[in-house]
Amino acid sequence: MTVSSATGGVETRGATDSRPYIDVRDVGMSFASKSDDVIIIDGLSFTVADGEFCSIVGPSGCGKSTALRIIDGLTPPTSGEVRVGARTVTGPSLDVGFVFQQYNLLPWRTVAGNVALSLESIGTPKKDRPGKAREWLDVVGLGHVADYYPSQISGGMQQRVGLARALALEPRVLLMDEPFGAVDAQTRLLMQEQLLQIWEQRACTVVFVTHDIEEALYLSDRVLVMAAKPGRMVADIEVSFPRPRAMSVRSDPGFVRMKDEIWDLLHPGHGA
Amino acid sequence: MTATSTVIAPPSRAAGAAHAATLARERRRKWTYRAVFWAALLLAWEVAARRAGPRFLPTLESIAVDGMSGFFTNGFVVPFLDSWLQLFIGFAIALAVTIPLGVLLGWSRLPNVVLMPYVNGLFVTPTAALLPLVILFAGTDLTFRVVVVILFAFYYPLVNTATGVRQTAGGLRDLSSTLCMSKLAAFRKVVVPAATPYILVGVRLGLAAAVQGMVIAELWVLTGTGEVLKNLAQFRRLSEFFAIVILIVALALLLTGLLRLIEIRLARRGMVSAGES
Repeated sequence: MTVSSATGGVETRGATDSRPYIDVRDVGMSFASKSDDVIIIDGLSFTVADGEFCSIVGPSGCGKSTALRIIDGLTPPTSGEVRVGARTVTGPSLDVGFVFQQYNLLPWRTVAGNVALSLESIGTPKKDRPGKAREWLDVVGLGHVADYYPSQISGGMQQRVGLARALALEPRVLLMDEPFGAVDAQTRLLMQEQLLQIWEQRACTVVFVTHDIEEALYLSDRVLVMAAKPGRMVADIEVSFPRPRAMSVRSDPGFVRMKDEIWDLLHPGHGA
Repeated sequence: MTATSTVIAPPSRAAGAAHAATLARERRRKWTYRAVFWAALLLAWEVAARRAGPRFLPTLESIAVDGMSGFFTNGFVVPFLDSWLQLFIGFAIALAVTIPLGVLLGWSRLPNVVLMPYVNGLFVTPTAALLPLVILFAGTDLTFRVVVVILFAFYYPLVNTATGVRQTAGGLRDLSSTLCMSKLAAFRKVVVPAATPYILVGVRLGLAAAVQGMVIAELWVLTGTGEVLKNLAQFRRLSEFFAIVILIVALALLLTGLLRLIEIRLARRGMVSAGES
């Protein structure tokens, strides 16, 4: 397995180093059904370097979201282990932020109140929470809706609140489970760009699960490709377009070629 | 992304006022329909009462004047209050048991698996059929009546609370896990607020069932308002009979209406106000 780093371009954040920060070792996940064991994930191993942006793409049911939950500690694997930093994962930890596909905002709290939920967890003094929550909302460009309830803002905005809530933990690792899967295509592009800006300003390791190949290529230093039945890794692809990346990188011939290659991996026999 | 790309415009004041006017119009129309229907019902009653005669159906005037004055002068107030006292004791006990039990059933798998069949069994059991058995154990005094109210009021708050708590099992439980909340914090900040609307509906339905239990218990052992109603019916004092029935229904509606108001208030604030942050 190769561990790559972003090369070239203007690096506004610390360059990734090759020391693995997340270490997924031979992780398996299965459950017993009536007839036999259903294997969700089989022998999954990979590492993610400190500060690296790593995406996992794969078809539905390949276990990519499960893999992310295992890294977070939300779901224990049936075999293998995951290490994050010096810690062997046995459950969720506050140095890991999680962004859910379905936002999971508390509808009875304001936008700022939702972000404050993280601040309460890390023990921010009560008097500092409103100001801090506001700061994190400003980071995702939502300071102006701090006092709204989640039902009063759009889906894309709700997901940015989810991102602000995860960022408010000031985590070393950000796990994102198809975070832009439920937002419209245009908002999605804008959110990808914003996410890159935020990541470039913070020394934060990201594991990003998506089924969108283009999204994975645009965002990542590395793309891990998974296949289904059983869920396993089939490719580990280095993405070395310079950073910061412009949206126009998507039309770069190299980018298009990589997109086709990954498509072929995901759909053998169904040319792009 | 710039903030302006997805800025939403809060509703302008003019648009808000127009919306409020539309709502007010709708509300007026709703109440007009209701009033017309009510008037039709009362008219039908009156016509039927005049045809059937006072031995079968008292007129509206007779209920309002003779019935209500009879209620206050013939010593029916004390049994009436006594009945509601029994209701409140029984209902309070029912809630004190069912809400925590419902939380338990919604939160953990094992109690749910073991106990839920009994809860559902209780629901399909005709509760009135159990009353002779209850009399054996609890006698015919206040204890009996309170037990009957509890039996009637048991199901809805229990099942609704369990459902409400179980609703939070998925995404919001993941959220409280990733934020490393303690069980207690998760409960206080996530589970209870999320379940509150369900619990309130359960309490409201439970109250309605409790009122039925209150009257049925008294009809069985002939005491309180139940005894009064039985005697009034026997002696064909139907004006007073209906006056008391109407008072019971009105009071029950008032109480459930108050609970409904609380629900609406909370719903308007997203769901419930947890008052944090």
